[in-house]
Amino acid sequence: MRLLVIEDYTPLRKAVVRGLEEAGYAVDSTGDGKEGLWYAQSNDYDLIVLDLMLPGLDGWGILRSLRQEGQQTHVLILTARDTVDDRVVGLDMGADDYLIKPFALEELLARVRALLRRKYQSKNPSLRVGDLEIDQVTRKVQLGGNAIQLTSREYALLELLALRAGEVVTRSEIWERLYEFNSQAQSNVVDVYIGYLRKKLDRPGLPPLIHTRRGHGYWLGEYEF
Amino acid sequence: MKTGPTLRLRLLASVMAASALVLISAGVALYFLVRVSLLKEIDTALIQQAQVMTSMFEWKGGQVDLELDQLSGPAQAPPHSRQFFEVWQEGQGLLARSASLAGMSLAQRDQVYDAPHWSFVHLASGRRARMVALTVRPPADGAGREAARASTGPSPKVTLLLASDLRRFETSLERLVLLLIAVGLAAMLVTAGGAWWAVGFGLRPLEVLGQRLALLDEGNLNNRVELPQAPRELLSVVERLNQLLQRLEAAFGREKALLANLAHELRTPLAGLGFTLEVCLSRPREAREYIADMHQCLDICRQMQGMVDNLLTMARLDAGQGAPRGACAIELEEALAQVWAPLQDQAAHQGLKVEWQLSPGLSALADPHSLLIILRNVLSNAADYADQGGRLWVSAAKSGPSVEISVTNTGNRLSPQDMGRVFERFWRGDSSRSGNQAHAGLGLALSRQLAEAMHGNLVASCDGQGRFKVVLSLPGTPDQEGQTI
Repeated sequence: MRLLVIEDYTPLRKAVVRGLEEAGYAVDSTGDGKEGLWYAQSNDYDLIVLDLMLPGLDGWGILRSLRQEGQQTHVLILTARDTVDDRVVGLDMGADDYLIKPFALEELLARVRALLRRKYQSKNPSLRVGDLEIDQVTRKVQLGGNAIQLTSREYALLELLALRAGEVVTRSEIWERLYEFNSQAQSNVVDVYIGYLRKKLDRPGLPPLIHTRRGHGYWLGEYEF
Repeated sequence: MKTGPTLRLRLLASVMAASALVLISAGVALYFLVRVSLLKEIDTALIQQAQVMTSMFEWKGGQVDLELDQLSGPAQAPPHSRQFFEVWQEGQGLLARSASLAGMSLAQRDQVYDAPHWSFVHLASGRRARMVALTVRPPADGAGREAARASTGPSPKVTLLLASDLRRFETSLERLVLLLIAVGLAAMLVTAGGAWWAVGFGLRPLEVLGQRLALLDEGNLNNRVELPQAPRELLSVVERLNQLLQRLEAAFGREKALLANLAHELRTPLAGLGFTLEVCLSRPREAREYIADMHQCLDICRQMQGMVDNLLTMARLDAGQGAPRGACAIELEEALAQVWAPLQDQAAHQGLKVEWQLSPGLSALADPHSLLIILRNVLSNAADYADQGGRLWVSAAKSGPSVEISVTNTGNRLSPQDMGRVFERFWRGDSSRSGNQAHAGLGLALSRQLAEAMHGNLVASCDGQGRFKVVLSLPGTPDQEGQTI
C-alpha cells in the first residue's frame, strides 16, 4: 500500500511517516501544499493523509483540485481544526475521514486500514484466500492454521495480492505500492520479495498460492487458470 | 458592597427637609405677623380707652376730679372684669384703682411718662395683661391753666395705668399655633406623597436602565443598551455605557480569539510530541533511535516553551508589568552580531547572501534583554522566510534623535494589505507556515510591544519585488544626539 502524507509540521510528519512505514506501508511525504498536490497528481496513492494548514496551497485547495480532476484517492484529513463546521466542510469537499490533532498512533492506523478496506471494497478486516488467512488489524498471517512470520515488506506484498486475489497485479503496480516515490530500490526487488514469500508459503504436496503470469505480473489464488 | 440609603430615600428626605424648613419658616413668620397685628389692635383699643378716660379728668385747683362715675368702661368694671386701671398723681400717690384689680397694684410708685408707655404685667390671677401708662397734665387753656396758676400745692401730673387681660389674645395665638401645626402636618403629608410619586417618576428611567443592564452578561456583550425617550441627562450615561460595552466586547473577543489561537497553536506541537513518543515506544529500538527521538521531543518542547514565554511576556506587558527595566546605551553592531551568530548556519544552508550596513559605534537607548528579543525575532523571521539562495540586508543608522535598524529579506509572499496584520497576535501569512512551526505568529506582535515600551516603534513594509522590510526605531544615545547637531 502506498500512502502520501502532506503535513507541514516536520516533527509530526516524520513521526507519522515512521509510524506508517513501520506498519508496512510505503509512504511519500512533503510539508508543502503545492508539492503535495504535484505528488498526488503524479502517483496513484492508495490513501492521502492531508493536513489543512499548509504553506503554498492549503489542504482544501489540494482536495478541491484532486476532486475536480476526478481523482478518487481516499483522503484522510489530519488537522487541529476541530469545529463541526470544519469537519462538515472537509467531508463535503470530498474527504473520506477526519482525524483531529493530537491523535493516537493506533487510531491513525485503524482509520488508514478502514479507508484501505473501503478502497478494496472489503469490509472484513480478515482476508482469506483458500486456507491462507491474513488479519489486517494484528497483521498476523496463518496458512492452514500455522502462523507465518513475515517482514513488513513481505506482509505488505502479500496483503496487496490478497486484496486483489484472483487478479493479476503487475510488477510495476507492486513496485509502486511497496516503494516510496524517491526509493532507490531496483525494479527486480519485486521478484526478490515474491521469491521470499513463495518460500514461506510453500507447502510440499500442495499447489502454490502465488502464481506468475509471464510478461504481466503475479496473482494470488488457489488454482491456476 | 456596603450600600447607602436608596436614591429614592435620599431624594425624598431632601425634599421633605426642604419642605419642612419652608413650612416652619412660613408658620413662624405668620405667627409673629398675627401676634404683632393683634397686639397692635389691643394697644390701639387701650390707648383710645385711656385717652377717653383722661379726657374726663377735671382739674380743680391742685386737685383732679377723675369723674369716674361718668365712665361706662373700666371704672364700672366689676371685680371679674378684664380691664384694670389705676390713677396716680405725682407726689400724691394712688388716686383710684379699679375693683377688678382686687387690691393688686399695677405700679409700685407714682411715675411720670412723657409718652404713652406699653408693657406687660402679671395680674394677681397669674394671667398676663397688656398695660399702657399715660401721664396727663392740665390743659393749656381754660380751667387747666387757671388750675396750674392757682396751684401752690401738689403737681397736677396724673398718670393713668390702664391694663387689659390678654386671655383672648393668648387663646387666639394658641389656636393659631395649633392651626399652623395642623396645616403644616397636612402639607408635609401631601408633599411626601407628591414627592414620592415625583421621585419615582424621575427615577423610572434609571430603574429601566438598571433592568437593561441586569440582562447583560458575558454571553451577550454584543447587545447595546437602548432607552427610548431617555431624558437628556441619561443620554450621555447610556452612550458611555454602550461605548464601554463595545470595548468590553472587543476585549472579550480578543481574549477568546487568543485562547482559541493558543489552543490551536499548541495542538500541533503537542500532537508532534505525543505522536513521536508513541511511535518511538511502539516497538523496541536501538539506543541511537531513542536518542534521536528524545532530541526531537526536546526541540518540540523548546518551541512550545518559546511560545509560552512570548505569551507570558505579552500578558505582563498588557498588564503593565514586566516593562523593560531600564534603558542603557547598547552598541548595536555587537548586539546584532550576538543575535546573528546562531543563525549563520541556517543562512549558509539556505544559501542566503547577507549584506551589512552598520554605522560604526552606533548605540541605542534600550533595555538589553528586550532589544535582543526583538532582534532575534526580526532576524530569524528574515532568515526563515527568505527564499532559497535569496538575499538579506541589515542596516543601522541615525535618523534624527533616533536610530533605525532595518532588516530586509527577499522571498516575501505577503501582500501590502497584509502589512497591517503582521503585528496581530497569532496572525500568520500563508507563507509563514514554516515546516518547523517555529513561528506561531507571536514574535512580531511581542517585538512591537517591546519596542513601544522602550519609546520606539516597529513597522513593516513590502515592495512588489518580493522584499519584506522591518524597521525598528529606538531612541539614540545623548552623545549621538550631540553628534547629530
